[in-house]
Amino acid sequence: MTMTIFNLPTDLVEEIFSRVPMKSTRSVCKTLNTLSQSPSFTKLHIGKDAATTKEGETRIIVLMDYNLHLISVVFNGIGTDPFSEHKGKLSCLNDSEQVKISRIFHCEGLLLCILKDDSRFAICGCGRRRSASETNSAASCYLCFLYRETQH
Amino acid sequence: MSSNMIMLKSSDGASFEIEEAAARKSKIIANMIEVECVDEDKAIPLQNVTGNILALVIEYCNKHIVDDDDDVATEEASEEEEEAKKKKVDDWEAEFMNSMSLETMFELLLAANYLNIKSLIDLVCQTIANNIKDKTPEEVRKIFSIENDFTPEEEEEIRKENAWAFG
Repeated sequence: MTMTIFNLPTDLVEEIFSRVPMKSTRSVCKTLNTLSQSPSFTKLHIGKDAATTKEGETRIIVLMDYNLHLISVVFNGIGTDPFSEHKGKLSCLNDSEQVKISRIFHCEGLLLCILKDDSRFAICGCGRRRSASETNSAASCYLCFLYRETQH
Repeated sequence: MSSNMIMLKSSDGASFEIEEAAARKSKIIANMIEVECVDEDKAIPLQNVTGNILALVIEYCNKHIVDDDDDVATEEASEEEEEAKKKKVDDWEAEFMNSMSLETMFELLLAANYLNIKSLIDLVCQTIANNIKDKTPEEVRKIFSIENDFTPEEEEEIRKENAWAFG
């Protein structure tokens, strides 16, 4: 009898996949797609990410050249050299769909991106995917309201 | 040096002698010792762990008990010494996991879970995760022998949802 990953109890499978990027987990199979959306998994995943955050580190999202960039800034007080590191850029995987973002708003971990030369907009979870919750839907409503305001 | 030794017995009947301090790495065994369930002449039967896996668990515990003792003894050790020690442990762990097959890792993970040895669970999970973190979904399926049960439409849907991501 050979043992496979799905012979392990769910909490151990979650332990393993909470340590890899969500993108590579979800597309593997239905079981992992479902698992990656469970509240317990999301919590583990965010926890693992927070654990890698250095002391004095702040992560900020900056709008530059019509795109969003995730930047980590580390500052440990006076007398130490602060430094920043580029962590990533918000992008569509398909280059032809790449959009230009002109303004952003945020609320409760959600981002509203107003697109340039385009009447569409996008709302995305900031950093990690979050499980749907009441705060999220309230935040979505608030951001939709902001969107309408910007269009007048 | 006389330290308490206890006996562990695997599911396939193999007996192992282990220092009590090392065995305490397992929360389950530590609890048994606390409530004095452990008779010095009798082996503790571990029904869910085979001999070859138990041997690995014991190797891990023996290695780490020495390190924990060192921590207490050299509280004022310099930062460099701490770093060097940590590197030594990391190197040992890398070597320990290096030649292990995926199936053995799964069995070791189950044993660590059963015996409740948190640091070993972390080590095995991290090693498996490192093997797959930069792989494509197709490569991950191959490593774990998982079948792709998505329809092309479902795959496209997930691809679209994933499109907006910091990377």
